[in-house]
Amino acid sequence: MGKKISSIKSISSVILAEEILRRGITIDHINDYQEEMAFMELSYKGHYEYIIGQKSSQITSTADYATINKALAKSLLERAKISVVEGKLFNRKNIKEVYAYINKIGYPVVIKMVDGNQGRLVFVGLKNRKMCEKAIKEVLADNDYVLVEKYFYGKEYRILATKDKYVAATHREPANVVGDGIHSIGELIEIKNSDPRRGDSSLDIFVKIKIDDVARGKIAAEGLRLNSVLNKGKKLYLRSNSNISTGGDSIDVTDRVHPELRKIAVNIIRAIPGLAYGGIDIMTNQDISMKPTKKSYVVLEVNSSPGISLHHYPYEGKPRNVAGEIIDMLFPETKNK
Amino acid sequence: MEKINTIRSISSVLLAEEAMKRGIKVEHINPYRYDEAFLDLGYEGHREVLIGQRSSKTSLEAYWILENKDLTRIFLQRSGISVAEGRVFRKEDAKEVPGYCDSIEYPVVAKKIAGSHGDMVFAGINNGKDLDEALSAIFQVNSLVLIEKKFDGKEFRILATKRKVIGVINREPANITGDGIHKIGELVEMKNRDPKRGDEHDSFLTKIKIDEAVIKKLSEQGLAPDSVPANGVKIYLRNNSNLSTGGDSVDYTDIIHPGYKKIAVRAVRAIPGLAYSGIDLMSRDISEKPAPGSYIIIEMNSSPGLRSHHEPYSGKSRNAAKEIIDMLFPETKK
Repeated sequence: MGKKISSIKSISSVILAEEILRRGITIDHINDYQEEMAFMELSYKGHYEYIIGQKSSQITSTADYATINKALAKSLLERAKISVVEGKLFNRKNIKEVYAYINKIGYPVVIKMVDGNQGRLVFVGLKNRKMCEKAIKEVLADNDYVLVEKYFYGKEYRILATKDKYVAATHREPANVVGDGIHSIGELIEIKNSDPRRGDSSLDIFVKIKIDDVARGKIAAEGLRLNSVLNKGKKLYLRSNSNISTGGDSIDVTDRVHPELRKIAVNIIRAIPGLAYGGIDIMTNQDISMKPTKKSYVVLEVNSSPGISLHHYPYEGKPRNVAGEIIDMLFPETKNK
Repeated sequence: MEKINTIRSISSVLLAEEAMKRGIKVEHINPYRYDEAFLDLGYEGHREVLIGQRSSKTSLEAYWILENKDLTRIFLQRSGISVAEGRVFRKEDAKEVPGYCDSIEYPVVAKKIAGSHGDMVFAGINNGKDLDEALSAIFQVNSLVLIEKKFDGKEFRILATKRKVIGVINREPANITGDGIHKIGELVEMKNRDPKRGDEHDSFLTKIKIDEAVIKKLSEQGLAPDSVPANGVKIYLRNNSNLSTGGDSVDYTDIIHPGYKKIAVRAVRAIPGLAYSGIDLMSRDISEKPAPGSYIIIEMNSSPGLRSHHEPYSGKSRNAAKEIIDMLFPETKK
């Protein structure tokens, strides 16, 4: 193992580092006083590459900017004829026009900040003005822009693709429990959380489900309580967003994705100039194995630093070696190692 | 020339106009944004991107290295380029900082690692008390601090590529020169009347504002806005030399020693994946052959402003936009 490897603090970075070291590539964590934004220098026989998180020297700085800036990414995708959610950017000055716009596109809507990822300040499924007001207030507390989008009904997937190749897909499900007719919701959560794969740190594959206000709200919305016994086979969602970091599950669907959608995934990466690979958040309102149409899917965002643990260790289904694909791009000379 | 009127930054306008002059198609993708313009440039199937003055020729790692003052130091040192003596400290190791400052000797500079434009840079720390103040301000919002020995010299901005130096500017802090008749406040007003001076980033030079920092700087010199300086006496109104706070730019491209041009080119090459950069360099005398200790590179910028090179306050104008578009689209070079 490389000398400074213990300083890596995220499960996806650990997976990537293991693949790198296995091929005999050297890793140096240059800014080892910084745990976040670890800057890794990789070298193999005089060939240097760099990794920051899961971002790498294969992408340009401008591609990175375009993926971080949600509104910009959307403009670029639209130009490449990729379906994106209907939406509009507002700033502090024209924020009053939001409700006229929402009346036009109709509830429910999604409200989020423009820069950022990992479900930070994303409010999904807002059904009325009061919910929107609260969300806008939170976003504007430390952002100048608010992105308002029409809510798209469907299932959410994360597709990993390069500019040449479709690699993997997982369905991400919001934190959930499935009833057995015996245990209460609280007990089911506790049972699910006792899975050794679930923890509280960024080094764990899955994250423990938290019983917080959001979860309580979802339970109450079903007319249930924490001590209600859930019917056998009934699945109860405890959140609206499906991020792994808030207790979601990942289910591998790589082999089920329709070939046409695989092509679209590659075109999505190509739509962002200078992007080599990315994690695509996509929603579809039909089965993922069916031929996509303009109206059957929307791209939510493209992530230039995609988490890869969900592909390597899916909650259900076959593991996919995404790290291998990424390192193949960085060091093609180590491909068959 | 469609959409060009949506671009708000002068440097982006210069680049867009240079590109369009050559028949390169320019599209402003994020006109709703008032900070950095994202320009999509296309010429016969060849596509490049500009964000501000940063381009698709700048790698991700180059950007990250330049965004982190300590990584910049590390990569420059690897190439044998002088940087200030200094070290990074974590907040939890704050107790070690005073001892370190004693060992490198005051005055020192304390700054945060990320960011540019002089925010959170404490330039004149002369003693433990100054140090405490600087550390508590920086640690309030950052978990890391960079401590460097203060270097005495003049500050220059060198715009360079991997092959050559495009332009060199010395930035002087906001200043006025006395005429023995007018008050400092009036001299500022007269200087601000220059049509080249506007508000903030929308023009080549920026109007001087008499604010608390200016009053403090004046009182340190035993002056006030209503003092009348003698004819020919130059009075500095600030410590920082940013153009955005009223500084002046003076072209030095033909004055610097060729050794500095070599250093600038080596500095760009020291950063993997960097095509061009605005280098902030301090030198004891830039017309003399550089030697270790006679200069330092303070930081490097991946999105260098171009306005000061195109229209310096004094000296020769340099066409930086042309040089950058040449790099992006060499096939359109004339």
